[in-house]
Amino acid sequence: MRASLALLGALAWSGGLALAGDGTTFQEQAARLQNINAYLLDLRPASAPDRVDKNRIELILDINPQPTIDTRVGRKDEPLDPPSFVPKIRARWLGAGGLAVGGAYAPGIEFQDYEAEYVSLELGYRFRAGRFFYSARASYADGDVTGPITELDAKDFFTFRNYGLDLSVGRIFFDKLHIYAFLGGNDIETTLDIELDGVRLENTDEALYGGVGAAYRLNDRIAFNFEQNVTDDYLAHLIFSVAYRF
Amino acid sequence: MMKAWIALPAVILLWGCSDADTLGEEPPREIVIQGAPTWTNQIAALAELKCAYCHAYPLPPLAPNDAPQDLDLTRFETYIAADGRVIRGADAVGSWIVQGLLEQPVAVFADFSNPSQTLEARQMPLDYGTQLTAQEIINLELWSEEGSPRDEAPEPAGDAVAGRPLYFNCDFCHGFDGSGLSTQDGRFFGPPLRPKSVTISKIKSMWLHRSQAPEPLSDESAANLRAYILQLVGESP
Repeated sequence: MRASLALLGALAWSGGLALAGDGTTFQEQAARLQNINAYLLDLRPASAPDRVDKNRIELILDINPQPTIDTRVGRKDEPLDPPSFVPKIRARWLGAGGLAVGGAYAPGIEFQDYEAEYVSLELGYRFRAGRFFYSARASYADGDVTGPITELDAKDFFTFRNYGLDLSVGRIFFDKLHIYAFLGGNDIETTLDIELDGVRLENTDEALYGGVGAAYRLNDRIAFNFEQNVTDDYLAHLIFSVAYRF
Repeated sequence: MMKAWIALPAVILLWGCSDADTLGEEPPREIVIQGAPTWTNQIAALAELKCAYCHAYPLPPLAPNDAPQDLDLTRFETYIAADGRVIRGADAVGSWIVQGLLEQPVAVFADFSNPSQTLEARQMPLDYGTQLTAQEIINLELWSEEGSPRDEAPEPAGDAVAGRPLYFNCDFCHGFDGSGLSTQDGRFFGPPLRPKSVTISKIKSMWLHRSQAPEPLSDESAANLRAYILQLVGESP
């Protein structure tokens, strides 16, 4: 257990340590940007894998601070100003038997010059052994973003479809503090239609992701969650969450 | 032990990391050429890596709306596609490179019926494309100055007398003496014929692409025409 947490911790802090290559192509740069944008919109656990004693419903506000993204491709370097954070509201049903079903939906919201549609689902099973909690979870996210992705004032169109599968393990302390770690894999499909020039970029990618998190349960209804995510060797991002249980 | 567990979230909070490595600062991949650049000596690889993701036939999805629809830089020679269309190969781009297309946009004429119409060929590669390194630009310019050779094999000699009647298909743009025809603002209908670029392959490409000839030129006829053109511009074949 300690070893696996240490491994995930090491994975987490290696986010900025991408291997140096022997030069790149614009296709690789564009694919990397599409991957990063898709993984940032993925439905990650963002919660400790705790098991409930009776059926509960959770409403959760996720705040996803966005890392600074260098959008340079070739010698094109646009001074874009993407959102500094992305909010996401999700709901989750937690069954006393261990089943967890959740999802998020955003019908055409406009946010800082961007318009996004988003739907995601998750299905998981949680169980407890002493002070340890375990979870297996599958997720799906599908959406699109319209806005200045490659050029100021442009209406580029980005679509993504993410499939994820992850395992989590956590330990509870003092009945309030829950430390957890997770490891999973993502398959993504993305497209980017660039308004200028009418170019269409299509991309698929597979990546491992993982992370560590801490949840603090204020009382029976309210919990705060902090999660560090790492995807492949080139993306690290954070998710802050507040959850309210009914 | 318990303290270590409790310290973990504090460490996460303190060291929380938000970072994305986008490859934006990575230099472009380079095709290194040893010796004289020819199509078979790495120019093909260079064109494949840095040009042909847009300039291929049929037009790839990555190509911008205004990309020429009849240029295929995965191939050296101009050819007739299965649909009957004449598709220019890489031996057609040498004159553009000589005119400076790798350094800035180049003005071109649209058609003979409206010579005042100004079009501009965009600087290559486009700003979001995989960039050429300084050495690659030198190699492409050197290759173009040398007439875009396929390889280092010498061109076969031909019969200038037999080639003379074939020149009727060329003089409309290149002039009766091969010195070219241009508009008043310097744009070419047909550039002056550079002896180094008068190759069998180039003649066959131009024959297909520009002339109204009903069928491709044979290697022998192209060699004859080359011999006549070289005589015309004062070079020995």
